[in-house]
Amino acid sequence: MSVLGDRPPTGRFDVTVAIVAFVVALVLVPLRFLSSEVYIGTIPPVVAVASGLYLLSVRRGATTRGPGWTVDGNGVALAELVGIGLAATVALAAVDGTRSVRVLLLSAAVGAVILLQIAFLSAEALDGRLVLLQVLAHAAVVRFTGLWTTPSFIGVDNWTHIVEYATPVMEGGSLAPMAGIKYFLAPVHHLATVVSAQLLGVSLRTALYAVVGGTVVLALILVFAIARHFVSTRWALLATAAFALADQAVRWGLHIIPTSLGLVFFLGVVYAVTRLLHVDSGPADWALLGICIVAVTFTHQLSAFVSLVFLGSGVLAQVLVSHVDWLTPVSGRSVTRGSTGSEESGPVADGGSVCGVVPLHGAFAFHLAFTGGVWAITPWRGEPFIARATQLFWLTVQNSAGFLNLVDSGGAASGGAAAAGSAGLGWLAAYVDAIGFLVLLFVTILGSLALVRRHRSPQAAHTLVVAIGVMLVFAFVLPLFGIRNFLPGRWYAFAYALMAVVGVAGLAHLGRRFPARAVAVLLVVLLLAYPFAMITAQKATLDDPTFEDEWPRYAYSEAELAAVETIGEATPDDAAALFTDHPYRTAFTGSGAHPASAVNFSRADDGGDLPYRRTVYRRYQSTAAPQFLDGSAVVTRQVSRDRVCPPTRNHVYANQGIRLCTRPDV
Amino acid sequence: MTPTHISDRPFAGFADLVVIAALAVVFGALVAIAPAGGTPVHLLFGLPLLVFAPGYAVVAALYPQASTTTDESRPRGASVPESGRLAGALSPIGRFGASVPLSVAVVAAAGAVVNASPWLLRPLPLATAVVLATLAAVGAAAYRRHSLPEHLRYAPSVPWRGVAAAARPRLSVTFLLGVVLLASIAGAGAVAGGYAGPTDGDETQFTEFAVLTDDGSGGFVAGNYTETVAAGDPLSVYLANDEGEQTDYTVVLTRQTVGTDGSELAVVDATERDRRAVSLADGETAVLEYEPAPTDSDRPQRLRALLYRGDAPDSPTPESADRASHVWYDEDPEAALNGTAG
Repeated sequence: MSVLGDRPPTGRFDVTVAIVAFVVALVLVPLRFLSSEVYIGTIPPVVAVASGLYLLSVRRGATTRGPGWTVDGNGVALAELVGIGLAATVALAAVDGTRSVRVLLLSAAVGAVILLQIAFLSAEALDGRLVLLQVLAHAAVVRFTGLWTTPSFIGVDNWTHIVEYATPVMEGGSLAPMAGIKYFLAPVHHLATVVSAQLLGVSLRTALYAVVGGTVVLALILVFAIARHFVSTRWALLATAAFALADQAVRWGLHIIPTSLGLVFFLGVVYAVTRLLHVDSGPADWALLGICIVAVTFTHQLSAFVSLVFLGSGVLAQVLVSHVDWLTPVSGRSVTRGSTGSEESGPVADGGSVCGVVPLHGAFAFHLAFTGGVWAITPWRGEPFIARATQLFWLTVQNSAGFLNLVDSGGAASGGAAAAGSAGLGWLAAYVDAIGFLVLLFVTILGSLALVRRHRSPQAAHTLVVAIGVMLVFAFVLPLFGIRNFLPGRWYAFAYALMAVVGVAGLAHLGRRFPARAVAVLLVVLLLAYPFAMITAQKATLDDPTFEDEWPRYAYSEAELAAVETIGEATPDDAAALFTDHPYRTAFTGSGAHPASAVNFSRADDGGDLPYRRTVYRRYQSTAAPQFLDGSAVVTRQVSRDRVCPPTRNHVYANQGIRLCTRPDV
Repeated sequence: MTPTHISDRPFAGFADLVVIAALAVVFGALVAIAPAGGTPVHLLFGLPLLVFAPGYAVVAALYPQASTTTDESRPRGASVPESGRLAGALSPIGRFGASVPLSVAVVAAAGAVVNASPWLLRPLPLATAVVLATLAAVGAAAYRRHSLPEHLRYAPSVPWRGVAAAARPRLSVTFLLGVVLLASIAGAGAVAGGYAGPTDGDETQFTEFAVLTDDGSGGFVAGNYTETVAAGDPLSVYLANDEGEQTDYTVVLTRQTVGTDGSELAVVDATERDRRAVSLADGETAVLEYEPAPTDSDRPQRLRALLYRGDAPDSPTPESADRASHVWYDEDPEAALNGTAG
């Protein structure tokens, strides 16, 4: 064998796909000159490197030995270190009163310790249960320090779901106040919160955080349970930790809305399908799948759609595996069980028996029929949900779709700093925000190629890979054409769960193909970069952004919340809307204080005066990342107080940096 | 353990279900006794019931058999049942993981059932529904488990000795000292922060200050200023103390006549009309009435209201004040300023 190994085998599905991906990625590299979007500039090189590395790996023979990069450390001592680190994180957050940058960096460092011990501890020193406990504890600390140090709610939609929907349900003792809205037939989140608040005798906020928030954290165990069907314990732990640390997973633990519970039930669906495709399943597994399908349908429409896409991917994989032999070159081999059960062998290895095809089309048909049926009777602004959603989609396709129509993509790359060419720290913020996803994408490409070639359940492998591909199309490709009806930003968390599982299979593949030293270096780089990038990313820091001048803060101080209440009470009910920044306007509307909109600076007259009768200024608008409208565009822009509240207006309310200004004639 | 021993103990192999059922019954009784809840005991029993117990019972009913000894990563068709085990059973991790989403699903379903019933979503009906659902699942799990041969049943056991042995080295002196040290640092930090007193940068402690008008029905609104001034009615200065402690304030009310200096507004005449000391307890509010008393002038006039914590200086300014507000007496001060500019 040469240094690079033998020539890659031709005619293999994985190799063919890797070559195509490599070439296409190279061709797409010039796209960066058409758009300053970070992901357009970075994804093609990442895909090219990952597929190139895979092509390199298949030239090398696999080794059956365990990972040569592990060390005999003391797992208990590391667990203690993690415990002290987490206690320090809580203490620091308590002292700072927020998840400050140093709190974020400390929790990222603790996350790195967890990841590194998973990757580098020897099999003897690695206690799976102890590490899993650390992962859960870390996830809880990251999320609950944010929730605990933030007055009221984090995010926009929480105000709607708790104040506007759940509160009347709590007070009225019935779901009747939700009649007419689309959550009337997706009330699991609201019911769980209200029931918990009633039974525990606590506020809706406390019930939401303790019960639903706790469920979101504990459900991370499902990622381990899913991953364990694809990889060995070490890599399954890594997948769990990687998902727990992911910005999008943290996001739905801070901004706890139906999407959060939808993600939990989605993991249930994936777990049930994974079991069906791997073990000798029975009616219980189908029942588990059915329960999760019903639960996700009654929880959140988009989550149900994502679940439907996943199951549809499973059916597609079923068809492919059944009818396209060259997709599963290992199938039909005469194989032996070999060392399947050993700690480091895992299923991603040559040898081992191959499972048969499991029919998922019945489950998919049930999901489609049940979810479609519920949507047919779900009200949404006077129409059935499914009819209105379909109309909106076609309207978008006809009117606003167009290539590289990137306005307000709302996804991982959303926000004013998404463009790499932004001034100031914008470029740094954009790249920090992107690194975590790019790491995940890199290992996912490797894992996808490795799994479809080598996993002993080709249907399961293809299901995950196809699902990731389709989900990233919804998240990335459709927005490129201006189609955002499917809320692309919501898909990342769901995709990340699958990407974490597939990604660790990619790392395991590299571990078997490359020298231990090279693998160790790669792991150190990835596992150090990943937690710091993810924990400090925009979506993981909604409560107190790492780059406060670049990313909006979706949380408010006690003073800002008091101002919302007092200004709401002091504004006549029949008065026109208040105008302020986004997201502060959502605190007014969501809390029911008074209708509010974002200031649109294109409406200012020649002298710069805004035509609004009532405006609300807060110091944040001059010091951080407020968002306003300029015509139809959302702009992140710092403004002076006089711009929003000129001295020729009445300044009728003052509280720290907050002002309510009225036109003198109101 | 031999089958003989199991049959001698009626709850052997069912201890987990007994614990779940007991938890449900105890919490149900707790809610019946104290439906208002909010006590640590409610949280102690309620949280595991809401987050884990019903789901665990449902999973136990779905999967009554013992967990497989085969590797979960082994493919379907390859996991041949080994002696005394069923291949399709859940691992303990899978059992725990599946319990979590199913619990919240059961809790929500219980709420939906109550909503569909004549009763309201109140503690007693909800507790009854959740407890009954949990007990029904426990019953189904017990029946299905009992239907299996004893050696195939899922029989969880808490390895107390193993837990104790594992806990000893893990809760080492180093770890405990570390936690104590950090707790001390946090406590010292919190105490130091508390003694630092309120500052304007600390947005957890604040005072609200507003100039409002009487809406005629006992309330106050941010509007109708020029009408109020024209009618000679008083303006209302509103204070709300959220500083976390008793706070002394001084409110200074000044009538200003304003002109321009280039493009900037400039006060051409100012008369301090009132200076009032107010002391408010934490959470207390006050409304001070002020007669605007406009004078005849070609220039626009306004009321400047300044708030100080403690005493106000002899020459109060918006820059030196803790809060500053102003209300114009004219409907269009800008036009008035333009008419008098220069």
